[in-house]
Amino acid sequence: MTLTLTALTSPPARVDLSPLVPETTRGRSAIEVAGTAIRCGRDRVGVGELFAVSGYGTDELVLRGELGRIDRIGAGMRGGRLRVEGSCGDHVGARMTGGEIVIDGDAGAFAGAELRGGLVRIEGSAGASAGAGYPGTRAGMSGGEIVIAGDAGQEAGAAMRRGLVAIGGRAGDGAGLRMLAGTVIALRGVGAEAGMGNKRGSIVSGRPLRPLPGYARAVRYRPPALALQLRRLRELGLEVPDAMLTGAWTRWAGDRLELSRGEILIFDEEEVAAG
Amino acid sequence: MTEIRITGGAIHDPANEVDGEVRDLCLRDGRIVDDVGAQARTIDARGMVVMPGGVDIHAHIAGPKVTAARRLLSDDRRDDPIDRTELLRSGTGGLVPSTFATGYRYSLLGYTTVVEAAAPPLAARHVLAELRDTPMIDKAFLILMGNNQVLFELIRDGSAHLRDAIAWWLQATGGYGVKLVNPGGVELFKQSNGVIESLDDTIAGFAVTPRQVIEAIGSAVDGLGLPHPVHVHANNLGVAGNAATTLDTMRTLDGRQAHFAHLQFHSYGGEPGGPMRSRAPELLEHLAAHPEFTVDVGQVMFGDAVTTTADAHVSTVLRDLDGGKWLNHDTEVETGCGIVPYTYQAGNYVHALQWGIGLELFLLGGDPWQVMLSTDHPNGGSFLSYPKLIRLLMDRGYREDQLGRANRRAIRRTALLDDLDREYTLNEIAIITRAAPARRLGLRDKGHLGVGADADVTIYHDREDREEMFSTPRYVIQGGELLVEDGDLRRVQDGLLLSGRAPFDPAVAEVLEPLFGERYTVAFDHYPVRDPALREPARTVEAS
Amino acid sequence: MSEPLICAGCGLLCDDVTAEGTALTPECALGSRWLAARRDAGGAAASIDGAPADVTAALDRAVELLGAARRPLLHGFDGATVEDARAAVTLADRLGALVRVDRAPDPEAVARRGSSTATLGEIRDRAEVVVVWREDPEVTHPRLLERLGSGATLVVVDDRDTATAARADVRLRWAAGRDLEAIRSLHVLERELPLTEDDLAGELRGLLDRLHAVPHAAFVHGPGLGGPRAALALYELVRALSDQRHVVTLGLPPVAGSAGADAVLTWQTGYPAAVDLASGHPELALAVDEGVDVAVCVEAPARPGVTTIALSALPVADAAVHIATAPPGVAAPGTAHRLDEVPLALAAPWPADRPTAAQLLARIGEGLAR
Repeated sequence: MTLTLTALTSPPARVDLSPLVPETTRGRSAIEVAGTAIRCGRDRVGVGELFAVSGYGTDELVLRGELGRIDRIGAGMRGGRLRVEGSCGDHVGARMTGGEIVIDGDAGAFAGAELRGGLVRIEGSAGASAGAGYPGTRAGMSGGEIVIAGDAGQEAGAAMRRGLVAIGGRAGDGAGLRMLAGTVIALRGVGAEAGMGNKRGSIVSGRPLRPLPGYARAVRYRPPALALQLRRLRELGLEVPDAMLTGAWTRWAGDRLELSRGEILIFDEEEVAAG
Repeated sequence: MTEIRITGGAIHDPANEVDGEVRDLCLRDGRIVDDVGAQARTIDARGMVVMPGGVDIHAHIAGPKVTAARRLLSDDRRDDPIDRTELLRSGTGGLVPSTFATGYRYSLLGYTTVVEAAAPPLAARHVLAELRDTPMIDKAFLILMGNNQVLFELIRDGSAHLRDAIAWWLQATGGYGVKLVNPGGVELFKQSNGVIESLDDTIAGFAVTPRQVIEAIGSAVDGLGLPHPVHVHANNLGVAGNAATTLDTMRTLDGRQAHFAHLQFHSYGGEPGGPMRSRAPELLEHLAAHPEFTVDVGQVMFGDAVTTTADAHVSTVLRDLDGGKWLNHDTEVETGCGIVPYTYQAGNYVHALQWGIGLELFLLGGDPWQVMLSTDHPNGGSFLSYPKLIRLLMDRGYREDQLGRANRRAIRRTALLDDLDREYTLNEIAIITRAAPARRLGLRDKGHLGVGADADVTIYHDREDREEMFSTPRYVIQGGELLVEDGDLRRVQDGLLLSGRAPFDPAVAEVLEPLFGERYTVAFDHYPVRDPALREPARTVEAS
Repeated sequence: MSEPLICAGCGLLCDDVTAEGTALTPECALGSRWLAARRDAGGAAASIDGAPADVTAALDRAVELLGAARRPLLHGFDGATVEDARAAVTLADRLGALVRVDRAPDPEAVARRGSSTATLGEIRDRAEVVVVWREDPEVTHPRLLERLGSGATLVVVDDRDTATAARADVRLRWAAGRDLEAIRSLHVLERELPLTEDDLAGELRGLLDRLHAVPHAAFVHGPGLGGPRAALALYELVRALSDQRHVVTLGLPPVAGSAGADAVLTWQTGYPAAVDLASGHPELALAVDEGVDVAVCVEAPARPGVTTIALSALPVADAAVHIATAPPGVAAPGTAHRLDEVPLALAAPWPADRPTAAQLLARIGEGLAR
């Protein structure tokens, strides 16, 4: 049976669960895993004090129960599968290099922060700074995919250098802040102040948006590369309306205050209907 | 009463002309003594190398600009955390470690004394408080005086009070010595983003020239007999062709004691804006003819660094090179500050040339008593790279291997390919990392192992790999206490604040007060640091 | 009789002040209020759950609460000294606590791109245009404009009729929500790129012309500038303007002691503003919900909904433990950093037989070690 950790109660303080990833639990018994020390607030406690542990460690690890104060799930993970049955705390999948994390519910802030590879899939919504770099980082996320079925908070994809942050719902304000390259897509639209200081990145908004003054309206077209990316989003399980695949988008070039080789693509349904 | 006998080690004490002699070294009550009793703790140093504790004559470790660099580099320290223990405070490392980490890591490296080379006197309380939180090492700071508007006025007027004013300033701040940074040029930068083109340019609004400032302050410090002579960061740092300025600065100070900081950054031929050349040989020649001068090299090491300087104009040049992070802070009356993270790349022509010029300064036959080791931490690289630099100097094979990785075009413009087979001896390393800096700082009790000296002793395994050897001393003893064993800190201590002092006529206050009133936004009475908690524990080194 | 004083009523730390009673010369309403509250603080030396207690009992209770805390926080530092902050971060390190200093919303912007700043004297002597961006220093830092001198053209960006706006030579009145857009538009104009014409364009061109016409300018900003992205945009603009002239910013801190406390936090841990020491080493504190259970408030009010240990010269409502401190600058000496980072030594013209926060924090640390 897959190694499964079920939270006994909500812990007394925030927990750092990064020591438990498939590669460290593989081949270990429930009793061994229960004895692993993790940090709860300023204390170190055994996993068994906070979780009921069952099964045997394989390439997969399952977490259940009230996980809202469990942080750093799968942080730094290099491979395997990690399933979170519920909502989790901050920094899920931060700096992971490979493997897959699926979260049934919502994720806290910094989900997939500075991701280097692999897939983080969030069936609910994500907090602020999904796929973002940590403060001061020039080049943040450098690969992999983050898929968020719901909404994302502020500054999704900030400082990212490569990879994809795909949001089925809305992205909060400040998406793609100082991004170097890579793609942030929000099918229900990105918030205000998107793409400030963006160098080469693509920000895709499924709803109308008024870009910052650093952006200049460039062209209205049917971008073939975007259609490919949107099809990939469908493969990843997001609902992409047909109109977006076939319709016209407005491309704004910017941020002209940086290299001006980035873009914001905006889907304008009205004009598509008219056309 | 702590007594230690170090037995069987090869002693390298160049100040006392001891070169690898195997004999015992005895320590009592923080001093080196002739002999100790039978009950003394014995440290078996057979097969090991015994040197005085390291002395860093030029680094940037504390004060507002260092803390500003920490703010700017949140990302650089994240992967280098230091956990708290029963004994140690927690901290973070990286290029600009937190204060406790700075003290611990210098001590782990076998250094016992470090000079913060550029403190704005107006921020003395901040510098002192940070140094208090920098444990282990003894430390001193130099105060920035080369762009001080009040001194400009005294110099312009040929005031007889200049010497007294400088001595007053040291007394007011707890500083150890006097630093000039781009004299006159920082004021010009603050006025108009301007630069000095010649030492005879007039500094607008003050009717003085950089040459007058250099000469007047250099002479005043020389005349005061302060333990450390004027410490000069010359004009035009980093600019092609600046060797002419450097030579001109040296000629201006000829006959007076002076120390020139990070000479590598001031040894360039060529024309401003054009390709750089090395003029290290010419500068070394000048040095050889002028025993009153010393330098530290300011070696650049390939990899990450952060330029942290009072020479704020230089920072704007670096800012515009790659558009990365940039921090600037102007301090009224006194100085500026600029910070830009920077990476020296082996394949880059300019960086490889800078690296090569540094090595030329070390290797082209200069007197090690005149040419001291520094990376201008963290400007040319972290102090943690000193062991690698020592290996470059001691191990020709390793050096040639590293030369092979550097930009060929640049290296061809240096003398490094001219069959340069010099390898530093252990005694020469002891000179450039402790004996010479201590002597130049006027620290008579440091940098040597003679009877009566401070019991600051570093003991190394004698390993073939000199980088490994100097990275992890076997023992570090400071003030007679064993602080480090095999890479572990065993004991924590505060370390002393070293202050320099010269007598002055207190009537100088009457000259300074009105000048302060016109310029500073801090009242004259509130300027001097009086709080004993900031100034102790101290050792004051008097002028002679 | 009048006493010379360094006033810690705001981050300006005016050091040319004398006090007669609680009236200050030069006059300053904020400074007088600050002094009055601290000279007449009175009250019990300590209290536990609102009932008077002796200091030792209160310290024991604080040790007990912190010993049992899962997620302690140290914060505040309103008018606290550098010595207080050093003791606070020392205790936080021992506890594995969070430390938070209330600063203007700029540490993130500094970490991303840096900044260009200057001391008051630099701005006074050089700046020919001073732009106050949606702050009202006449109320929050009453002598700021005086200390910056009268030579500069004062531009105030604010749609409210503040006391500062009343002194402006030039007023720009767009709404707060448009600040980021306005700053980016200025930047676009500075780069001589085409700007989509809108209602702000004319005013922005006028402002830029003023800035271009002088060799030195300064922007005064603070919490009014709505968040780290706006601060970042301002710093980027200043950087662009600095290419051809000298331009700096001056941040107005929300509380007087924050500049010094933030410096201490940064030098001891390597990180500014908010640091989490729970892991055994410093990490930037990034969580929104920190789950704090016990808060030590150093010269600050209680934290709502959290068990509070208040070490404060002023009375604190709703604290589990309150110990009255000798107010820094009034009854206790210490170092404070002015808003432009210049360190000054606060005097203690009216010494009182009360401990400093630094002393109390050290005693709590000793208590925890037992």
